[in-house]
Amino acid sequence: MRLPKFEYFEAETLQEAVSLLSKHKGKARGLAGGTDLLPKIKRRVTEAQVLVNLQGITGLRSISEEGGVLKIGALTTLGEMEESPLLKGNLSALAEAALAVGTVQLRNMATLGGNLCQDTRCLYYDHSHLFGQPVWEKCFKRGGEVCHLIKKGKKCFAVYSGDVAPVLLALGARVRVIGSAGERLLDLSEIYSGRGEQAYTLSPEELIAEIHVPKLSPSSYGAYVKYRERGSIDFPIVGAAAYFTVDKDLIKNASIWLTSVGSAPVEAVKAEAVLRGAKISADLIEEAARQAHQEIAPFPNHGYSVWYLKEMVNVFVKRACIKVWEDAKGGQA
Amino acid sequence: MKEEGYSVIGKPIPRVEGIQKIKGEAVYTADIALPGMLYGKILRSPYPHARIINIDTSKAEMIKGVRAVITGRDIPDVRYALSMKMFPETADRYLLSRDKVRFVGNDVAAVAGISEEIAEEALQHIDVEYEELPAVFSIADAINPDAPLIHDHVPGNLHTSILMDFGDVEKGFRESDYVREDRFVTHLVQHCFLEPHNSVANFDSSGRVTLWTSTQSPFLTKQLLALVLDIPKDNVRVIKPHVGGGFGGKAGLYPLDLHCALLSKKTGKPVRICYTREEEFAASCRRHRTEIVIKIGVKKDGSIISRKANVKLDGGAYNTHGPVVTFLAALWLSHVYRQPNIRFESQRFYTNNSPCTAMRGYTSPQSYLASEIQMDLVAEELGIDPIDLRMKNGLRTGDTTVNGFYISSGELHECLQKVEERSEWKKKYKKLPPLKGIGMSSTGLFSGHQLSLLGPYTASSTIFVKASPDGTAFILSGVSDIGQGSDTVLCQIVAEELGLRAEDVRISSVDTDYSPPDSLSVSARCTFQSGNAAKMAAINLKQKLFKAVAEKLEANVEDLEARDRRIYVKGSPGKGVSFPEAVALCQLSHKGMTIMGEGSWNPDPKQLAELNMVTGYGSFSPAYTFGAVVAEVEVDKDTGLVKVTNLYHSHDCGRVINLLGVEGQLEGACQMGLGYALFENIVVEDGKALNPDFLDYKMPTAVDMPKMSAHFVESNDPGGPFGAKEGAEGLVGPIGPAIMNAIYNATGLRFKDLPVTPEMILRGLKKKKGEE
Repeated sequence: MRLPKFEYFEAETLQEAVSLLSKHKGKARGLAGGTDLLPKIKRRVTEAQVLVNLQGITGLRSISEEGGVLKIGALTTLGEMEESPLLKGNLSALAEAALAVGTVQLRNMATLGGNLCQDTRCLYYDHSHLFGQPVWEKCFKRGGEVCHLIKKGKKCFAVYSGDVAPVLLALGARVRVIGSAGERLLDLSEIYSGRGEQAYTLSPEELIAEIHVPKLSPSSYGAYVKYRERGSIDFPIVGAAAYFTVDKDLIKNASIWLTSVGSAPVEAVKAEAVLRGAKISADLIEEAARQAHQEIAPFPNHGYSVWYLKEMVNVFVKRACIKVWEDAKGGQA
Repeated sequence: MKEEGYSVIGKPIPRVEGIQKIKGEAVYTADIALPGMLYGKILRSPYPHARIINIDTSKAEMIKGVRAVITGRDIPDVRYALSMKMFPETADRYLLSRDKVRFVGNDVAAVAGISEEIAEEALQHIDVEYEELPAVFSIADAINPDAPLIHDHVPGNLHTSILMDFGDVEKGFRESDYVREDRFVTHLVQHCFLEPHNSVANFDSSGRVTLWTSTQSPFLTKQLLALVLDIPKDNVRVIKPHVGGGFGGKAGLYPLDLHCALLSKKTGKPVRICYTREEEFAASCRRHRTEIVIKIGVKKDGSIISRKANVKLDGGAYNTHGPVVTFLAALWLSHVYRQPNIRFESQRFYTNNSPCTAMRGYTSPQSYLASEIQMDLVAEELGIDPIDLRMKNGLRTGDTTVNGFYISSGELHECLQKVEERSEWKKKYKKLPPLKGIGMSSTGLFSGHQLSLLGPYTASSTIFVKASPDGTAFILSGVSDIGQGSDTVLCQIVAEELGLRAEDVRISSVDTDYSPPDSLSVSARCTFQSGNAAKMAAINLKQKLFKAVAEKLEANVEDLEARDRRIYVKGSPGKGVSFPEAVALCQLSHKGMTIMGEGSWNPDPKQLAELNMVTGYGSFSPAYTFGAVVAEVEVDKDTGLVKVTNLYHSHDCGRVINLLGVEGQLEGACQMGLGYALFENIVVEDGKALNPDFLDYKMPTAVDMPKMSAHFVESNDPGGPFGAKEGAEGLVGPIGPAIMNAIYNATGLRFKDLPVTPEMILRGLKKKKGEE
């Protein structure tokens, strides 16, 4: 399959990129690693008459620390995250989440900014124009009024499946966004709309420049666990990130985020409430996982039923918490 | 490993083309670029079943850079099927649809342009008017008396029906102590060769077409292309470059071969078409989905008295290898065990799914899945160890089955014993902790077939070997190495006979103008059948050399031996000449003529009962192979995910010609079998494949592979070259049932439908827990 014709620009600065995107508003896409975008353009699932290559913009491909705040440039590749000396110790969950993505070839190309903004997924959606797609009734994600997955569904049920976002969300990360109106600093959670067909709140001419992870207490510990059938390539069936701040065996704060259960990463608020302020124990973790099982309503997708995905939420919240607990015990020993 | 003094046979010789391949030097079809070459793309049906009312190509033809557009109107009025020569009535497909489209992805038009982009763009400007027709997607729907007919001339959508009935099964069941019937359902998977279908055609002004194509059957492809082009067959030349896998999915002719040829004819330029992975998954070919009902009757001691089965195959929209696959689906059930009464019925139905074809083992993975899970059920019921039950019933050397298979060599018992020992079965079976399990399966296959696919006057394989005074030998062969390693095996066989080293022997790739004919690289036939032809050609050459050397040494021809690059008097290596000297002597005595040996192989009707394709009586193959697998699994109780930790494989492949080769085949088979049982599944809705890519169609990756332990039982088949038999295709069949039986052993959950998902297992575990 081949790319259709498009106009191509190489931006040297963020401002230039933003002005190109504004100038071709609605027709242009920013190109970073291209691992999500280019195949979709080939399949004519995503339209882009103009591509603005962002790779030439300097200063967006580094991981640094300033005054305790960890700053990751949006063009940093997932491969670079895996290897970064700054993503060790209690930030290693970030490197592990990056490592859990796709394959080594993809991680060498894919950028963090692109990974956070990857398109939502559905088996009924991402098919080329060369196979049947032109005669299928348009689903919500294609601008229509039906859902092929949930036959009488009244909305789009495409799922967000990024591996890195839940970890960053559990860390309370913020994103520096540049647009034609200037610069904004948002909570990462604010960029996700929760709508399958249009999963991001950013406007078409806005770009993520940088991700900021606030200073992490030395007594914080985190983990990311990913459930997939194969040891490689796959998107998560369910992914769970957990961060605890502890004082000996007391959980002072807890943050739990899940991926692949809805059109945006989802926070397990009730599970967090169970953990927060409580004394850590196996029973407590069981209870938190049960709460997550109760509160999270996953979308059925890729052949897995709601029942099964709820079970997996339970299992993987538990596994993430246990991993954090073990880490905390090790860290404090 | 038995040595018997061979210098090349049995040795782990690396692939003769291996370095070229790993360095990226090997030329595949998609690498071929000819001056002025155009690029083709195919317009495919978006509907599973529709009548074509009109096709308007005028807009597409006006696009700059488009050189030709063809539709069903442009092809000769010849319907295609792989079996069209043997059974003309089975031809059912215009390779560009004329009247109807019958599956999503069916070929409607083809475009040639100066770039792939332009050709692809032009597809969007071909206007096709369709009249949608009701469609059927399952066997049950196809059988329904009210079902629409997919081919007007085929009532009931019943494409092929085979019945093999020997002995008296009903009487057998009455005489049995224990009778049971089970139903199994298998799903859709694909070959997933890394190289998709690719072709380049060049129709020159003399009326001759040269086709470079990724094929496992150049000679048959040549004949079939001539038939569908309606030109004399010698006006077609087929060249097979390196091929990245076939597994049955590249035998015969594929629509792109005809499209390339016709587009080339129309434009006067060479045309190349490369399928995308999406086209492979959605519009190419697949393993048959089957529904198998199987009934077995046994005595208390486990001996099989009677077995009956009905196999229904979802063939998809067209024939492809249909009749043979249908025949074999029944035939497999007669193999491996002694069974006095059998009645196997096999029926293939048309549906509006993408066509299904042969795939590694033909239908044996499906048939063995049913029969070997059922054997486990019988063992359980009778309280007999599953391995002992197979030992009790296994065929042995010298047996003739009730349907006429003559077992010239067969070591199922040794295979069973080997996997039992190596897996420490007795320590583990029913003794492992919960959620860990062990299970096993037998298997068997053939070593080629007796069918004369190239016509009655052409041997199954003909091979020439020529010797050069530089000390090398060159094999002229039509055998298609499609990645399975036949080139290396043939070089070894010739090297052994001539006393050369493997690296002294080179081999041609297939060009139907220059290579002697060889039947297809299918049915596990190359080592056995072409290997025999190569051996005979080498012996023939050697005799000529011996004659010249004997004269020079004043020795008897019978006393000579070829070894270590020399020809000498047996027992006196000093009394002899070097191989190059021998060739020079021989050429001198023949006025300088290049010395060539000739050999061929064809089934010997005096030795083997002729195969009757109607009754199923006869020896399908000149030799049969046997094998056994033990699988060990661990089940995650929280997720239901199965991890296969070990596969112990033992295979009676006769003499091992190349240890590296059979080990590689075995590992590939483990990967394919593992994928079949647990991972791979083409998800289809209303005839549309929903996961036509390597992301959502989950082939196991390197990290998903279990530990594999291979053992080869070298039975030394009297008909095989150096005693060799099949050692590749049959290895895949037992993996699925062994894993299923191990899952049962681990969890108590018995699955009869594939694929088994973690969700199915978790549901089963929870249900059992609730019941306790």
